[in-house]
Amino acid sequence: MVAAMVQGMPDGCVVFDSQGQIAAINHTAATVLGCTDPHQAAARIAALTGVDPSRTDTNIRRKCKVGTSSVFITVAPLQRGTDRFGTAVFFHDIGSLEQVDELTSDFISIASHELRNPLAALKNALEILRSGSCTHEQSERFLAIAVRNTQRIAELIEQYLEMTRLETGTAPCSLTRVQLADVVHGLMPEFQTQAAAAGIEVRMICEDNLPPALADAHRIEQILFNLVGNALKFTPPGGMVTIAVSRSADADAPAEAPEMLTVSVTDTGIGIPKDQRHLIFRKFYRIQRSHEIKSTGVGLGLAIVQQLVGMHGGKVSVEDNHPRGTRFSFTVPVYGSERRDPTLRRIFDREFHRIQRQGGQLALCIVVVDHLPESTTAAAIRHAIQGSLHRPKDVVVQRKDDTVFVVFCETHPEGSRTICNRIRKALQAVIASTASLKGNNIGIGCAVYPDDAQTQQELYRLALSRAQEDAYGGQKDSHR
Amino acid sequence: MADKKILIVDDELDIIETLQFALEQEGYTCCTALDGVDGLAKARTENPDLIFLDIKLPKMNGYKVARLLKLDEKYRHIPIIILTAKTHDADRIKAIETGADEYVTKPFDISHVLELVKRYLV
Repeated sequence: MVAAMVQGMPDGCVVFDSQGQIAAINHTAATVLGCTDPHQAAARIAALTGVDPSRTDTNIRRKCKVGTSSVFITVAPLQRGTDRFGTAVFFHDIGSLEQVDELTSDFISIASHELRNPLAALKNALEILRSGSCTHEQSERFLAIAVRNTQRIAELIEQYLEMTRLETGTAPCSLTRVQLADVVHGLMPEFQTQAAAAGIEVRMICEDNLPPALADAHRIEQILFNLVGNALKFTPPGGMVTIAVSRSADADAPAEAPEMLTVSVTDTGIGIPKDQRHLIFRKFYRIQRSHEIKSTGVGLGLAIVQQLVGMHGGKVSVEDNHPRGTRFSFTVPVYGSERRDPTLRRIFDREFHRIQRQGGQLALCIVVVDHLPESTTAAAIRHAIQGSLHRPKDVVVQRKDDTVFVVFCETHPEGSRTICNRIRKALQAVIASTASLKGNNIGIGCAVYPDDAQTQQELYRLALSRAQEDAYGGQKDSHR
Repeated sequence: MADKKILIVDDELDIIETLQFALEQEGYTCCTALDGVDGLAKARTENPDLIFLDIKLPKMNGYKVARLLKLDEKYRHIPIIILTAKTHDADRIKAIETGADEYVTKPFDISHVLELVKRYLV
């Protein structure tokens, strides 16, 4: 019973009996201590707390560093009257609490400083207005100061809260199939209105036939609002802001890296001094410029952008735009492109190297399914694919996100076509008999080594893009 | 008061504008600078009777501006009122050590600031 209680506790817990033997230990405690052996466990607790757990007569509480996290360790003797019958040790991880504390104190010290300037301007403006000593025109000016600084305070608080949500992992981000071109297109009217007011032209360039991205459309909008907002702020009238979406061309990317899309926001503005470029993604950092163009932001926009891009598994970067201005770029993975799925990678490596060694051909066939309502459907699809293969050497791997099935067949292009047709027929039967799959997009694509591609990466990408074309070819992806 | 000139050194335009308005209402003449280097230059060329000086400034911070002025016999008589968002005691001590005459934290009361000015410019 004690063991069951200890196992069910959310915090780590070890109970020693009167002989110093472990009576119960739960998983959390074993992880913290890195062992379940009674002697080692007692020695480890003694090393961490400076207290021998079987000898202490009073409750001891210590904050200890275990690995990278902080843990409160409580050593409590178990007594019935004066009769001691054991010791309980509790481990309470305060790593995440400390992180929140750190963020809170960070906010208090930095944000309070950042709040004081707009607050001072607001207060002064209101005091002047109340004094009734100004003309109508002056009143308008001071009202504008009051409004502007109130907005600045509100923006600072909102951005800080957002930053805190992002850093503590409480900000929602739901990654689905998103056409980045559609997201940009949807925002263009608003950007154009803002740009027109500043005498700037804003345009959008999207590469043709872009695959969909694995992204949260709302978060992408948030990133774009920040980047385009900055671009408009720091571009003089007559300038140009260009938003572009394209496939990332990273020749050095490892084979298992997902294919990425790049979104860039380029301006013809005043640029970012080289010596400050590494600092601009820091919280509360504002670029030091000559006074004519003092920035008015709160210094959190780019820190938020970096967090948001990171949530997508992408990267954000900044470079010069020639002859003048700045280009911010961020990457987002292509929907359905290979992410670091270890099982798939291991099998792909094995199959690819085997065929390279032995000589011969390897057909890589990819089946993508838009939305899989439940795992039983995934199992039915996998079963149908497997049933279409006849040779024992053929392998089916299902990627962890359940929406991509990869088939390795030792065959030539013609053989691969036959297999694809068999799989298609089998899947059509599954779709017809599964209500939840009705109207779903399923695509099949194939590429053969060495006829179609020479590397793992090319082979995978080719098969995947053919499968996606098959699944979504009827829909407009990004033809604008 | 018409003959008294006040230099305001701050990188916050809205603070400059409101403070300048309040001072001019009282009959003072104002000149302004948005960074430390310009502030130091104007302190030397504009011949102000008093300086409002922010600490966190572009190009040169307020401590350095204050120290350079207070080390120079020609300018050390000019009262310097630090006007800053920094509220820690350490900042206050550092400012006084540079020779600044007053330390006022933002947000401030305009009436309090006008009182201080009056006190130094009698």
